[in-house]
Amino acid sequence: MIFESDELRATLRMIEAEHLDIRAVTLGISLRDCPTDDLHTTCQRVFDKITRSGARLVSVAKEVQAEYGVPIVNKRISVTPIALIGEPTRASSYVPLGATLDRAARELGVDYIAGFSALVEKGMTPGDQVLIDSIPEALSTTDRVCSSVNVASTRAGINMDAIVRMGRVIKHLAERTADRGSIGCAKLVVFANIPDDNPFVAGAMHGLSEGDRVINVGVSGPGVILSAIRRLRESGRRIDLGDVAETIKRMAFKVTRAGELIGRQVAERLGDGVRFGIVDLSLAPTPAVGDSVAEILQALGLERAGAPGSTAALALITDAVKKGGVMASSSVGGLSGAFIPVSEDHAMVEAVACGALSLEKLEAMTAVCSVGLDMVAVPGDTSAETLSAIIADEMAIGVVNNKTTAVRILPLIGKSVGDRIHYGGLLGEAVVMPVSRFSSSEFVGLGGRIPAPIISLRN
Amino acid sequence: MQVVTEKEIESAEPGTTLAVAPDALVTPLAEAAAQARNIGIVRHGPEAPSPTLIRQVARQVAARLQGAAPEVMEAVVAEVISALAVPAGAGSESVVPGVDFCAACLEQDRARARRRAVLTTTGKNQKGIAATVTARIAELGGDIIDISQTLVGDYFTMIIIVDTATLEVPFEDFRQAIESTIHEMGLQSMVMLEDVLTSLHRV
Repeated sequence: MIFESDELRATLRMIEAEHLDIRAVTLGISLRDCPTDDLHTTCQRVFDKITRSGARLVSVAKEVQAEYGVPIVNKRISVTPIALIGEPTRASSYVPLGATLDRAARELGVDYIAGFSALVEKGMTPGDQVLIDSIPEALSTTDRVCSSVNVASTRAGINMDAIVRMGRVIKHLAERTADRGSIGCAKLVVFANIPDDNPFVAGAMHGLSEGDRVINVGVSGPGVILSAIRRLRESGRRIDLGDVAETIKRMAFKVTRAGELIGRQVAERLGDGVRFGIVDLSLAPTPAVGDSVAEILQALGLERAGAPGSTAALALITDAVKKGGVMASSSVGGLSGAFIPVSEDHAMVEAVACGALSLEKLEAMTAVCSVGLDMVAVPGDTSAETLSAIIADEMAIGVVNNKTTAVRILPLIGKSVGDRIHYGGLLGEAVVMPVSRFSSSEFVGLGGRIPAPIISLRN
Repeated sequence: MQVVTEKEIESAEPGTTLAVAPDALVTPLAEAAAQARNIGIVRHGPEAPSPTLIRQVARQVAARLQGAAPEVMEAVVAEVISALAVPAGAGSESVVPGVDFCAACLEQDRARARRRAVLTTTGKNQKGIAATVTARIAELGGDIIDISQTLVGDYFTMIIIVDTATLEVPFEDFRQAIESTIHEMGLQSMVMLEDVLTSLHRV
């Protein structure tokens, strides 16, 4: 089969000029064969299982990248929620397990390992409580460990008691890492309807329904879609939003295909029982210019992300991405949508800085895309109760709409509205956003559980 | 299976060698530490047959005993492998590959061999482009399956599909060699595995 020269040119352009890459190849490792009743032995078994399973991950990913010419940006590990692994030890702190994960990740040459997690949407076991209490110390004394806590689901409702705890944990973690711009909070995600197979750190974990070792792939591609839309608009033809959706679908198809090809290659070459899991076809921006979801909104004719119309535009983009991706692969999973992490997207940062994007508008936008209030900086003096209330609002959107939502919020100690913090790397730059000055502490203090929503009579 | 971590490297004296099992996994950090401390990692012990060896033997046996019963082939492969790989006296039962394993090795081999590369050359026309590029491909052991060449005005475009199963060098080296040949003529090139293009553009 001979190829058309425009197909060849398109491929080259996608890789070289439009940042087509595989954002994350994540090896999910089940630790269910590791628990013992002694913390030290459990740590040893966790370390052994992770290093044994992942010893070749980085070298295999590099090999596939060299052969196919498609860059693999991040190699990562996700593990079974640690609350389940630590519980039989009856230890009063899981910080040693966090340190073990950090050591294993360093050993394997991966930058993040995720799964210091607990699933508490309905209730908390002693192990879940110990895990949540261990988060501030575990995340402030390690570099690579990421944590997530699922506090709500459509089937169970919203666990307000857990949300109250998480508000305090976030505050505490921010204080413990205040000298580093509260960076600990960038590694902690609070979820509603957490997926079992999400390859994107910090919210990744290896769910209970997964196999022993699985390769999940997160593709990216805002750059590819952005330039396709720009080309469409510059083509001189009269275009409408239907054409835009069609273009996005086509590009999402290609990006997903590339992801599946690479993921299957990595899994096959790792061998030894490692399976290919899913492709997560989320549009994940990076701080690089041209690799931004907010720039896609601008290319659609919105002056800035957050201008009226942003929610509609984002709904169009997310849906078209899903349709193209589902056509391309039968193994679509994870979060699959569009990410709008504020600090990681330079045009989002600008939108916040110039006042176009408020926390409230951002919350509305999260109703139609994955994931939620992501990498949002708020003033350091925001109370734990207000943080809990912000989390509760976001969880309600996820629970009622039967979708995943999450909160990764950074109360920047000592900073106030408009202040900036530069993290560098993929985390980018955060601008402190204003938070409502009205109190929610009495509502949050009621605690208990918001019952699961009704699924019929949907209005 | 043994896993060699940084801890094992740190407990060895700098400048010495560390003996590990033949199939040991060495973590990236351990590799870096070994390099920094000038410690050699030597694999030794009873050699387990490598998949490459099993594949080679299985291929030969399958070619010579066409139509033979699977049990017969399995027995022959097992005998050859144990004679080749296991030193006299060592127990050989544990390392004898089954017929399923041989079949999987062969299938993997075939899948790799089916791989094809797409090579494009574009730029200002000059004499001998096709001749130079195709000669270089032949030198490296590539087999041309399809070739198309057009000239638009003075602009030369050529697309060649190469069977990479017969390459005498690794694909990475093939790509670099071809690209440098084309760049030397002042032209642009792209070498890519066909898989990428088919998966991106064909439904």
